[in-house]
Amino acid sequence: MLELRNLTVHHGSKRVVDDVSLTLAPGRTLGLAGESGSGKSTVAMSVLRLLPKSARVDGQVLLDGEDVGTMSWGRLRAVRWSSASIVFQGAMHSLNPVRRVGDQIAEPMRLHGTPGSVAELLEQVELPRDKARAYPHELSGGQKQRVMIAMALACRPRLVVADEPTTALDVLVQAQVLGVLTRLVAEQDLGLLMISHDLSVLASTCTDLAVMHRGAVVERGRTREVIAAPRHPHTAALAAAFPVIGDPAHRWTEPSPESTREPLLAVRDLVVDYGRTRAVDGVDLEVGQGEIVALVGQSGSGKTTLARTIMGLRAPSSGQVLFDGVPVPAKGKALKALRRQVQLVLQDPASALNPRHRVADAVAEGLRVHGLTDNLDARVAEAVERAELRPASLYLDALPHELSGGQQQRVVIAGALVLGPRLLVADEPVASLDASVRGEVVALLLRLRRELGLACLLITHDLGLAWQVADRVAVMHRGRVVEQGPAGQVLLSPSHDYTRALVDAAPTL
Amino acid sequence: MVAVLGFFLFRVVPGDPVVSMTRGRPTTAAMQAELRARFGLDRPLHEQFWSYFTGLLRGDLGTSFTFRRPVADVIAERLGPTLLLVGTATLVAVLLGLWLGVRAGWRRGSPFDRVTTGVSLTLWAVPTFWLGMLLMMATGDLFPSRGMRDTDTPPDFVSQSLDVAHHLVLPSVTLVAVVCAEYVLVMRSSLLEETTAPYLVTARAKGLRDDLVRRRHAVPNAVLPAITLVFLRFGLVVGGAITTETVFSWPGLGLLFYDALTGPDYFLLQGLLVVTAGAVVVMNLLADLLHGVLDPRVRAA
Repeated sequence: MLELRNLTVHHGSKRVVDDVSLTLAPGRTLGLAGESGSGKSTVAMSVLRLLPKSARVDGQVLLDGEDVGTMSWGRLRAVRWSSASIVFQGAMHSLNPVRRVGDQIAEPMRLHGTPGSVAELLEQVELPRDKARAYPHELSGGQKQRVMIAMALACRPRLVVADEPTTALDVLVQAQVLGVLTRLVAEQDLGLLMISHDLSVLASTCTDLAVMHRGAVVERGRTREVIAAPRHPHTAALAAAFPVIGDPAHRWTEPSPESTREPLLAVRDLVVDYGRTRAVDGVDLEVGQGEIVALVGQSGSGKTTLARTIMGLRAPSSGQVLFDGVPVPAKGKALKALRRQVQLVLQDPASALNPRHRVADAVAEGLRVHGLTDNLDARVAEAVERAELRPASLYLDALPHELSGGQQQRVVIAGALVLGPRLLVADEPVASLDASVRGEVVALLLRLRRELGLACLLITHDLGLAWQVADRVAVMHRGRVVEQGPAGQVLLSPSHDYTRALVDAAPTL
Repeated sequence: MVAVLGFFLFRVVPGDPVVSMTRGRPTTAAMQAELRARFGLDRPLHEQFWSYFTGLLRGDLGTSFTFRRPVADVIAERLGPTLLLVGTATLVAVLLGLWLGVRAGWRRGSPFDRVTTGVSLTLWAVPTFWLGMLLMMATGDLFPSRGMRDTDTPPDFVSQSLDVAHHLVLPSVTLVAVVCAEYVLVMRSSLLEETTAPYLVTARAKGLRDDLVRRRHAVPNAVLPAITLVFLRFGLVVGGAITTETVFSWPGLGLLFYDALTGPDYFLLQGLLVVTAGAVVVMNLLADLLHGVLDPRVRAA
């Protein structure tokens, strides 16, 4: 049904896709795995000839035996969506924000003259009929993604290309969306080309798997065989990056004696309201000296609000945050002093760093704010080396865009380390990183704990990460901590229903 | 705030209203003093302000020195011509500007884009009065260049309207040339921002023709910032057509402003400032309301 023959794509002089040949038979599902920049999305776009004009495409893309590259515009428009459709990544931006989703689903049906009703399509993806009148911003991430799937099925194509359909979704929502997609593919006997950086997602949906690395397919075969016995080192690296909960080999943290530990941070019966919404509802939490505590939960569960309150960025409505036994001050010099002790690492290093600041400036900023300017250069260099950017002299003059994602995150960490903090609050520190660098950043956090005795409150929706590094795990749901305890206990024998649902929904290899 | 600013701002304008009022006529110091007393100009500044401010609250804008009539009446009389001129010009400029901007932005770098952007920038940079005078010279006797109507036009409605329309051509073309450029550039840049939006890829993948992608998906999003600008500008243009109206002696608020400044006619100036500032505020409000109607994301918030 779909056949790529020696597909090669150049952007300028850069070869993004390098001699890729793949075939997909009707009713089969093919997973295409790879990191960002491996060319997998370019392959998806080339199926319907959607690449920008500047891209040079060589080789052939055969859709039902017809070469997409040589079709006339009219023929191409007729083929688009009716023979093959695409579920784009980031439904947030792939839906037109000012038009009702019902109209957007109906648009290709009118265009191609396909009979059918929007209501039925919405029901197929398990959305209520009246959502057709909603605008994209009125839907949740999972609902938008299901609208995208309904839209992709509107003209009953035989091939669906899904480009990272669940990235940026929570585990529970991801499980739902994947469930809908696999059910529909099976029911309607569709061919599915699914693209993801996440091997575990592909493993749960696809029968066949191809792994891309730097534009080329390095390995392909039956999914189960590829994952069980990867032949190419890159496949092995991708597979290793997704920790299996319960597998001792993936538990990198060393258990430490717990009894004598002084609580460094203590949250007592904390309540935070946003207007009438109660974001954090009576939370008790402790982080000991040098302890790594993972705070897990879905988006909207109040994790980030809790972190902001701990940092003193938000005043609690009631309850207390104690740092070293002293309540976190609301403002003034005392708060500033506290901020030296507690540092924040954010999810997306690319937006956390000022694009016009050199690495040295970005790292030194904290020192300047706190007026610690003596011996500035030496301190900055030391922090940069601690964050494993060695030798520091190579990186100090670099601008963020010259660094890779992993290196950028190290710069952010160096900026936090330079003040000599005792607690790091890390909000999804590896979520935006590629599989192969993710492990390195995780290892860095563990090494800092070992060498500096740095405690860490790790906020994440990724239970695998919690398994990998955390001493203790606290599960947050609707503003409450529903379960907390040692990582092994919470993740392996969860006692609360919500924790169990989270653990079950985590895709496994 | 506007009233306070207007009051003190215009007191700083050089010139003595009583002197200019009596210019060319033999006057004695006693007569001047009497005039001053009649307009309250002999009292201390803070007392003058207080009586003006309390009057303003009652809806009384004071009396004009030059026209010897209530300011509100003078302004009301001039409002119609200005609205006619500015309204026509804005309507034409919006339609033309948005259309050109969409065409230029969608085919970025094309000859059409380059010509449109170049011409718009040039017109924007040209001084209004100079452009007006050039237009007058270029068109010769084709269009009347002074005032709003001829005295010898028959009094029936049709010929009166035609006469006004005939007079309207030059001033509105001048105003369009100046205002339009901004709409073109804003529309073009906001469309350019949308051209890389992922939902346009979705639309193309659905098999939509290029012009449908533009009309149904890109423009409805890109037009939102432009709409806000249109309304903001409209508020400003009501008071800002000063040069155009002066060049073509169009009997609107702009010309009135110019005349009042040469006085200086304090009460008239203050009244005009209040009215034009009010126009900006009202238009701002309208822009916000309209934005809410057009953008579902704002409607929810």
